[in-house]
Formats: sequence, C-alpha cells, structure tokens
Amino acid sequence: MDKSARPKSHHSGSNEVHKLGKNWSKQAKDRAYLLQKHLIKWFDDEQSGMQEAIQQSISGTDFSSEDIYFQLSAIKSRLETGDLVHWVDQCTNDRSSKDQSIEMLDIQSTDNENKEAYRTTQLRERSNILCIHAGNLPLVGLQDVIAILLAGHCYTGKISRKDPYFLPSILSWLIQFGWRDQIQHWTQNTADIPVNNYDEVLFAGSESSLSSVRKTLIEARILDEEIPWLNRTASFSIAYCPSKKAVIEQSTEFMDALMRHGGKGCRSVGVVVSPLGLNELRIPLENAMKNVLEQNSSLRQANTLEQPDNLEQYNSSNIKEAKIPLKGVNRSDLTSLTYRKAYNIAVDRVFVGVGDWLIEEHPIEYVPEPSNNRVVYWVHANKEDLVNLVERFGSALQSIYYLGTNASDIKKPYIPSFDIESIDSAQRPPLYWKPDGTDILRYLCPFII
Amino acid sequence: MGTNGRLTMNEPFSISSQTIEHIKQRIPELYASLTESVTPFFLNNTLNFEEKLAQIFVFQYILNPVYQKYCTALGWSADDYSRCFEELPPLLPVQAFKDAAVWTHDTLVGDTEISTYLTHLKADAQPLEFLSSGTSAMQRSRHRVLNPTFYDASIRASWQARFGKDNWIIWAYTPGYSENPQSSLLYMIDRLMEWDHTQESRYLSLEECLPLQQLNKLVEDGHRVMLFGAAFGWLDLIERHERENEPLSLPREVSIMETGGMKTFRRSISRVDLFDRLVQGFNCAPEQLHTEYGMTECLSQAYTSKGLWLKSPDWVKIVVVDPDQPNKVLESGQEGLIGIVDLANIYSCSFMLTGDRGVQDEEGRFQVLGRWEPTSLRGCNFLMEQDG
Repeated sequence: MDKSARPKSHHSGSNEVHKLGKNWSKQAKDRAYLLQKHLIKWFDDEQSGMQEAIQQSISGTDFSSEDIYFQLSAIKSRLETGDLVHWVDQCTNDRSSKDQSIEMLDIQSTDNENKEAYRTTQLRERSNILCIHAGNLPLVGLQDVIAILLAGHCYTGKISRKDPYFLPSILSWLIQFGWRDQIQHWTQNTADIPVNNYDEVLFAGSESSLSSVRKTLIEARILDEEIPWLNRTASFSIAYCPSKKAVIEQSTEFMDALMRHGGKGCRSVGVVVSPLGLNELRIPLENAMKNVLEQNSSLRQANTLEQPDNLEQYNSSNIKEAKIPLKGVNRSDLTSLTYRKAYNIAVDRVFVGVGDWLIEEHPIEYVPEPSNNRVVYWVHANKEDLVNLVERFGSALQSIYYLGTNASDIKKPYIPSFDIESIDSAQRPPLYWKPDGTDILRYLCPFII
Repeated sequence: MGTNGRLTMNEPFSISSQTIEHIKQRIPELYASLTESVTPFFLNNTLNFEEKLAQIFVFQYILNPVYQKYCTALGWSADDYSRCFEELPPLLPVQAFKDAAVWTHDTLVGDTEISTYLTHLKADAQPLEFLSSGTSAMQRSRHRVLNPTFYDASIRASWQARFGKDNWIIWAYTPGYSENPQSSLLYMIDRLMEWDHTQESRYLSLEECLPLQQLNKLVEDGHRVMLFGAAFGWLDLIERHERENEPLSLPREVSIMETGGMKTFRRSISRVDLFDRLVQGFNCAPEQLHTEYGMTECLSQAYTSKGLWLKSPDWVKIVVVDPDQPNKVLESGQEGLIGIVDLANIYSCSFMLTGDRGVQDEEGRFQVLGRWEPTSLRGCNFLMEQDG
C-alpha cells in the first residue's frame, strides 16, 4: 500500500469506512464458505499433502503422532461445525464491538497520533499482514492464517521451525484453489521475509523472544518501527475444580487440559484452584494421571515411523481418540523433576507425582507463574480468591476453565477479556477463540460497521 | 517438630541410635570447634577445603531436617563422608529459605539432647535472624544464624581477603533498607563500621547530596573511604546531583561498592551499562568501582577483584551447574545456575543453588549475568541480561 495515499481527513475516511464495512460482511461470508470447504478438503483429499505433512512432522518435529492427530481432529471437527461462517457472523452482528468501532472513529477525529485510530484508517481490505507464528503445538498458527484470509487481507508468514510442515502444506493447497492473491509468501527464515510495506504484524510467542524478533526485523529493514504489532504472549491457563465428583466425572477432559501436548501451549492448565486440598483429591488425581500414562505406554511403540501400519489406519474416527503421548520427554526433564520432587519432600510441600508429572500445592499468596510444562500448581482456595489470582497473573494468563456444570458459580474477573470456559474446550477451542482476549478477525477488521 | 524448636525421638530426624561419640568420631575437628572457643571451623587451616566440606555435610545432614530430607530423596546419607571427596553434595535451592526453616535443630542423641554439647542449638539461645527484602506480599527468605560470631568472622575475613587489613571508613547509602531492619546487608555494614577505628563511618542522608567537602577532608587526612550501597541507590544519588546541579567528582582515593541489590526497583539495567553510568556519574576511574555479591542465605561475600569478575574467599566454592541437572558442574565459560558452597553457614546449610545465572572463568572467578527467572522479584542482583 502506498503510504502517501493514506486518508488525511477523518470525515471522508469515516464514510469510506462505513461503506467498506457493509461490503465486507457479504464478501467475508463468501470467503468463509469457500475457505471452510477448501480446508475440509485438505483433510479429506488423499492428494492434499496432509499425510505427507503428518509423516514429516512425526519424524521431524517434537510433536507426537497422538498430539498431531488430536489437533487435526479438533480443527477438522470445528470446521465441520461451521466455525468460520459463525466467526464472520459474530463479527458483523456484535453490537458492542460495533459501538467500540464508532467510538474509535470519534477518537480519531481528535487525535491523529492515536495508534488505534491509525490502524482503523490503515487497515483496508488487502492490507499486508505479517505473521510471526509460534510453534509449540501443531498448527497453532492456523487461526491467524484463517483470520487474515477471512478479513480479506494478504498473508505473509514466518513459519515456526518447530512446526514447519503443516502450515506450508495448507498454504500450498489453498493456493491451488484460488487464494493466491491473498497468500503472498511464507518462509522459515527471518532473513527471507520479503520487504512488503506491511500494515500490521501478528506475533504469537514468548515475551522473551518478542523484542529480539522485532529488533531483527527492523534492523533488516523488513519493517518500519511504527508498524503496529499485535503480541500474544500469554503462557498458561487456570482451572477451577469445585469438587471430587467433578474430577472423577471429567477426569479425561481434566487430564487433557493438564497433560495434552506435554503441558505446552497457553491453553494448557498450569494452575488449578480448588476449595479442596490436594491431599483430598490425591487418589482420583493419581488414578487419572496413571490412566493417561498407562494408555500411552502401550501406544509408545506406535509413535514411530517403524510402525507405519498404525499410521495408515488413520481416519477421522480414530484421531478423535488420540491419547496423550509420552513422546517428547527427555532425560533432562526427568532429572530436573527428580530434584523437584526431592525439594518438595524437603520443604514438606504436598504434591502428587506420577511419571514425570507433578502437581504441587502452593499457598495462594505465593503461587508463582508456572514455568515448567509438566508441573501444575494446585491452590487450595475458594472461588472468590480465584479473582485475585487472575488479576495477579495478568497478561501471562490465557484462559479460565471450570470443571462441573455450574460455571455461573464462579465470579467473573472484572477483566472483560476473560470468559469462563468449560474444561472440555481447553484443548478443543472453537476456531474463533480469542488468544489473549483478542478476537483476531475483529482486530483485523476495524472497518466493520 | 517438638516444642521449643527441638526435635524429638518420634520425629524422623531423631538420631537416637547414635551416640555423641559416634558423631565426634565422624566430624572430630568440626565438633571440637563447635564446643571450644577456637577459630571458626571454616577458617581452620589444618584441614583442606574438601575435608572441611565433608565434615560439614555430615553435620548438616544429621541436624538440618530440610537438608536431610532433600539429600535422602536424592540418594545421599550421613555415611557419605567419603563421597563428598568425589562429588558435590546436593545443592539445596535457596528458595528453601523462603519455604522452610533451613537450619540445624536440637535433637536427641541417644537419651541426650545434642544441645547439651552444642549450646548454640539450645532453644533459649538468641540467634540472629535475617530476612531478605521484599514487601509483605512477597515471600521472604529467612536465615537464622545460631552463632553470630561466625557471621562476624566471615564478614571480616571476606573483607580482608579482598581489601587487606588497612582501616576503611564506610559511608553507607541504603535507600529502601529502613523497611527491613532484619537485612543482612545492614548487619554487615554495621560490623564494617564498628571496625573503623576513626569512628568517621556513618549512614548518609537519603535526602541530600554527597557531602563532598567532608569527603575531600577525609582523603586529605590520609583515610581510605568506601562508599557502600545498593547499585540503584547510587544511581538515585547521581540523579540527585544532576538535578541539583552539583557536579560529582570523586577523589581517586575513594572507592565505591555496589551490592547489586535494588531496593527501589523502578528500572532494570545491564551490569555493563550500570558500571558505565556509575563511572560517568561519579566522574571516577573504573578501578574505583567494586561489586559485592552476597545474599541473605549466605554468611560470606564475594568481591570483584578486577572489572566484572567476582572472587570468593577461600572457604567458599562457587560452581556453575546445569539448571536441569544441578549435580552436573559445567566447564568454565558455560552459562548455568550459580551454586555456592559456603562453609561459614555451619548451622544452616552450606550447599546452595541460587536462582542466579552465571559463568565462571578458568581461575574460578565468576560473573553474575542476571536472574534465571526474569519475573522473580528477589532483592539482589536485579539486573537484566548482560549485553552481548
């Protein structure tokens, strides 16, 4: 986009924006139907390249076959549910968001330096968006790609080296179906990102890597300093567990939330708050964890390419039953957890340890931010205290889940970005879920009125 | 634990099957030093470092319940005296000083309380207790020092090992410490001031610029002066001088000690930048700047000998270990977690794993590169990663 052509007048810009928003709704819905169709076809068509990407990922990444199949199954089922069309509808029908957009335009009239106002005028259809993808889970960057395509923008991606096969496979596939105009380029190497007059950068990853990535891109003159970045850096989620009954009845979903993907990913539970102490739930928790690990012990051999028959049996039904894998555990993890268990014993801390997984009870005053994927903190506290904890963890926290049926029991934190979600959605979120509280499609379309 | 802090036979740390003679045989020199008024054991010159370490390990394994449980869980026992000559005993994370009572306790030996022989373990003894800095919302380290003379001896010997036996006037600038009267740093500064025979040592006003006239007078009179304080306090003082348009120019005879601590934590800065800022702000030579590395959990201190490298005293061994496998000591030049064996910590725990990231050179000197977990808000070494 030619930056000199940016609208100078608020009023003319505002009218233009209104018009653009109206047109956008219809076009976006058409794109959603098409994209949904093409993505489902990637899952179903034997020639799509998906199988090759699965094989490459199993042999060439840290992801286990179970996690890969689980993730593919979760995404496919959400596509089949119609998430993309729903997402567009949600954006266009959301009254509160609409009001916010109008307010934003009002702000713009008085403050041209305001960043949000800048974005509002800057982001049109066919804006150039650069994605810096995280790679801690298979296909974790897909949501950003979908949002950019639905919004009508142009995508350039820095693909994560930890997940180098799936996104390129999908992008190549989509190009064959007419998405070439919007999918411009992708690469694993930062140095190979083309200079393209980007309007926005979407970043997902750790807080620690953010500044160095940004610095590299600016120094390489790939980006201007003033280009806005949307940074998603939350690192863990919290679950509220009201009773022993809830643990027993939802043990599969609960363990999935804790242990799926080796505990990695910001939607994985790092802290559990419960009115029950860990000792009171020791037996059901140990049983649930043992159950997960025992199931996977038998699957361990199937996690390798030496057992291709198992992989060939892949279909939609069996991927839905993918178990939590053991693959990915390294000796170093085991050793550090041995020291951690010894430490817990030394300071008389209550903990449950199964395999190389630990749940440790910490007092609410001092519970730290979780830093180890395989260590979950248990906080013996009531639901009122949960609010304080959420406020304390701030931007590091991604989601809040509840076990049981009565989510309304939990007092909602005043931070509006948090919805209380059911525990079973932890690892199977809708495609329109909001990382760090931001609806990415809505964010990319400030012009929707 | 029983009443008055004494362990009873029913507790897992009772050593009722032992006799005091057994203990004496296993740690003869240490036992003698703890029961007689002689040179502190860590300053004993008749034993080498490893011999002292092994005796202290056995002593702390027997009488420090927290350390005993930690070691037992890692496969160590009180019989591992000889093993200490082959490998480092387990390093207890310093976090334990926040989570538990990491000191030696009175217990029964046979039918007799061991405090009958080791009187500093008596419940009515009056130990010192230090707390790390932090707000009430923060978990703070607690270090009980059962025999304060060990701390005094360590402070003095650490200082003299670096700065010799000359008299030093200490001018301390310690913003933020008034909220923590149990600061080990304040105790240390008090001792250094006591040992100044001129009685010119004092705490500087936090509301005023450095009294340069008085400082110059002390230098003219031939005294050696050390300005002693937390790094960020010095930056505050420099800013005050700039604000009040009072140029700072430090006489070459005056030295500055920065303790790495930050009590007003309102900024983070790399160590290199900090040094540059201090040299520029005080208008002094780099050689006038010194760093002290110490912590609430340690009774000994390390000082820079030149530039950024710290040197520990003879009774302290610094190691840099693999964070995932703290029993694995890394080669010089490799970054890892700093482990400390401080033999002055006789009545608490001498084997500690800090949360600090560091590197060691071939001479055993070390640098602190920052906190391993950047979100941790502990009082000391609050600098972000070193540049480059």
